[in-house]
Amino acid sequence: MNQDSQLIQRYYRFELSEEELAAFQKRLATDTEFSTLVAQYHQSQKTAHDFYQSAEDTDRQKRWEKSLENSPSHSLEQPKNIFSWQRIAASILFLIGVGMLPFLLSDHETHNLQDLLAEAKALQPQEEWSTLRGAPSDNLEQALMADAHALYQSEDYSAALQLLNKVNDTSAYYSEAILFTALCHFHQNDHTAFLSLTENLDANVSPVIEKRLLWYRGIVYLELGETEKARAIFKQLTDQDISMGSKGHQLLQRLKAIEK
Amino acid sequence: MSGNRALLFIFQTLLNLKRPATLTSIFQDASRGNEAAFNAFLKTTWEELAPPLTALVGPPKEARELFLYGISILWEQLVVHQRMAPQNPSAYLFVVCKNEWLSRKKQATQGQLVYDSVQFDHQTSDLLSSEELHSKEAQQQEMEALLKEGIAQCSDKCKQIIELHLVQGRKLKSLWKELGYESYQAIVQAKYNCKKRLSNYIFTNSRKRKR
Repeated sequence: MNQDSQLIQRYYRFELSEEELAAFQKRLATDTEFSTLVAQYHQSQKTAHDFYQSAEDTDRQKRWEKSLENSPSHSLEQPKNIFSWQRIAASILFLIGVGMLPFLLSDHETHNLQDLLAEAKALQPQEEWSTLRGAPSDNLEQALMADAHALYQSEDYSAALQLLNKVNDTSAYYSEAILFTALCHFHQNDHTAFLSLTENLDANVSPVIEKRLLWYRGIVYLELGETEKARAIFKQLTDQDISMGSKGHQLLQRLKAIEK
Repeated sequence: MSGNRALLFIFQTLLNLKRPATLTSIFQDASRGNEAAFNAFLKTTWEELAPPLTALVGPPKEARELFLYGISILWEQLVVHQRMAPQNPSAYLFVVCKNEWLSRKKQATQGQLVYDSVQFDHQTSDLLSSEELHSKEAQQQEMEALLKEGIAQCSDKCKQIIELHLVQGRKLKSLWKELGYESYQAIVQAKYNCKKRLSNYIFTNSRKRKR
């Protein structure tokens, strides 16, 4: 038996270390010959597995299935409640923001503010997933991040959020997970969740990510019509020597012009 | 002072020994028929994996079915064969489930391609779809033939287990003494060793034929 066959057998025996498992996954995705071998092994396993299913095995699996039906995760099968409190809160906040704008600003100013918002959104950086950049050094968390990335790209933000929530604060990908969690909220127009997440970032979030999130906070405040807060943020970005500074300055100037 | 250090060292060593034993004891207890702890493990692991699996697969029912497939593989390896549990069983299980899902998806896509081609271009696709279908059928027939051959190659003990347990439906708990095994666990092990040999036979011979 060759090394690849042994590796596949070890995979099915739950014997691979985290590193070996990550390497296995990588080969499965990139090496056609290897993936064919895995498929052949899988087919043989399945044929034997199906044949060896006894009434006892079927009963056990039914018991497992029943016990899972009673577990809290079963609630996943219930239809999504579109009136969750976060959505209601975000909608109220949004409606208040939109409703208050005509009273706070003249028609001309409202129009300009909307222009500015569009400008700010156009200026926002193209966010990259650094976990996917360069030579891949796969591990399970990176695989999780890659899946989250795919969901984010396909604009399935709810599903991406579920994966991103699994990254814990000791992980090397924690900062990036926080950034993209916030961006999922941002794209979902869930301002409440976005602001609550980015308000008190913990110490594990890198300063670079913190500054990027500040930029988006500015946009969200613009969207909510809270120009004071937006101005304070763009001022902070301009004062700091970071790549977003010039864009922040640009927005600040435009904001000043609107408010004159 | 050195006495205290020695005590501390012993305490820490015992503590470290205790940690991995917890997970191992779950699987050991289950192999002896006490499945309470395993059931708790099953629920916790499902609660942990349900969100990412549902995110991956879509319908929660399908996610649960996939999870149960993964658990049946884990049961065989960690409970029946009593292999060492991986560092992070739920992460490992997630990968196993994901690969199974990808494999099913690949098969379904192949089927869909056949169907789609029939829809779009009847003349060429009839040829294509029949070729594809033929290849799928041929693969199934090959597996069935290898299964029969593999069973024929089995030892008498394996054949007895197949006949009494799988065909007649008798429980292993009522069979182990009758078939001369030392314990219930021994016959469970024997059953899965037979299965492993059968699976290896199918794999090795299907590869030989493809060369």
